[in-house]
Amino acid sequence: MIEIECKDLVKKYGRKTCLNGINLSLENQRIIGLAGPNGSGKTTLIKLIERLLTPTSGEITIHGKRPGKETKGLISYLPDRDFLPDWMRAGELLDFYQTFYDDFDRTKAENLMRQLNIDFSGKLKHMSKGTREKVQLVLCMSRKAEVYLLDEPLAGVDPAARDYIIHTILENYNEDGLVFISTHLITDIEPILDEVVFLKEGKILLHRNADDLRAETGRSIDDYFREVFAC
Amino acid sequence: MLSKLIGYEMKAFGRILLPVYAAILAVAFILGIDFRIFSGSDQSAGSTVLTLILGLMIAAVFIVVGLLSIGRFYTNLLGREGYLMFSLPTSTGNLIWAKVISTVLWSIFSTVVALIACVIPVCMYPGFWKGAQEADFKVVGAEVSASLLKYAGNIVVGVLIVIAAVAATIVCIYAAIAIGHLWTEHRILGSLLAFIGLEILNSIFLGLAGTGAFAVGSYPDLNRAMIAGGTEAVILVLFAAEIALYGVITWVILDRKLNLE
Repeated sequence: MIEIECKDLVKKYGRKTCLNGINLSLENQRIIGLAGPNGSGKTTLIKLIERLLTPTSGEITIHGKRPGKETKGLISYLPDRDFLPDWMRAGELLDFYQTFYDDFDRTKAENLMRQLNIDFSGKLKHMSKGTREKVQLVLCMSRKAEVYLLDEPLAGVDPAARDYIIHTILENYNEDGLVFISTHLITDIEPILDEVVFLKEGKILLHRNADDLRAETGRSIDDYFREVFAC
Repeated sequence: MLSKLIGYEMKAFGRILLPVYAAILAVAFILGIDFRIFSGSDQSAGSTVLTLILGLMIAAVFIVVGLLSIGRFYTNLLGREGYLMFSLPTSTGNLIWAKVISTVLWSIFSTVVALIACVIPVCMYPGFWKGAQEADFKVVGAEVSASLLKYAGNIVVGVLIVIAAVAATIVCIYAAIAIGHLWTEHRILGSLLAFIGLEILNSIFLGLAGTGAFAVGSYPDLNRAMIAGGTEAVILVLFAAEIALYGVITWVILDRKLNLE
């Protein structure tokens, strides 16, 4: 079943075109990587799907519906930046998610936070950057969502943290859903990908099954990525 | 969902305002003690200073409510927290209304706290209770009840007008911030310019209100109560129109033109 569909999607900021005629169909029960160099439009595409940006033209549907109130209930979104309210405590943040998301599994979130030794009564503003990123990941992956939009979850973290992030994603995502994960660190996520989408200068360069791409090129996706996007 | 959002907003406001309320009431109580101790003598310099501090704190609490409301709209919806709020499965209208309603509620609470803070020192003044003991409570109670019943309608309409004025002001500021957000750069400057533009629009609204009130007042067959009622109705309708207009502007920008950085 198609979870996300983009038709002739265009996004411009003033005169600058960030996405130019994106046509994309993403099905459920897949982990799909969105790869491209910095500035290729990965974050823009994800934010358009989450409706944090308004498209200049074109159409997006999620589960057959246009982005809005209903689709936000289907999507679990991990942005590429810190969005946690400083004044809240970790426990209050769990209350917040439990209040607003019907598919939020509080027990799972609490267990994951305990594994990270996070104090529920601790204020978020006193947590380190790395811990806050992990809290965001825990919140995102503790939902049984139809779609997981993960924007650069591996960027700027050490290799051990990367392992933790990938492990957390794999252990907790809803297998009937779709995981759409943007990154330019292909090596780390290549083993878990079912499909890959390459984005270059706001256009889809390719969208293939990961195994097929490796067979066709005779190389790993990471090697192929380096060749395609060589400076 | 709206009630849940209001609950969240109330909590966010409360963490700052509740300690301020506690401080105001504490100063009022200390002032009352000061009145009690020095009631027989010339008033101390301390009571003058405390009265001044209390007045400033009461004025400050309303400023804090306004600043919090603006700050929360900007950071919670258009700042990095917007990634959290705009990902919630709720409508943009609910996000906006939750902030407006919370601001109105905290303005009401602040007014109540300010009134209590004014009453506390008066009640603690020894002469007050002495006078109260001498007064016939039945007569006073009957007079107060009669006055309240007589002017109940006016009181309710007056309160509604104040609430509508607060809501209209807040939505106007939200609309200005939202308009500024349409700019790709210098968004705060854009918001300030938009606010000036909307204030000009407000003055046109007020002009209309004045004309409407004058038109009602100049109607020869109306008695004073009808003139007052008509004027109040005109004011309420205009505030409602302002809230609707600025609310729609804010909603259109946040719902149809949102570009969260």
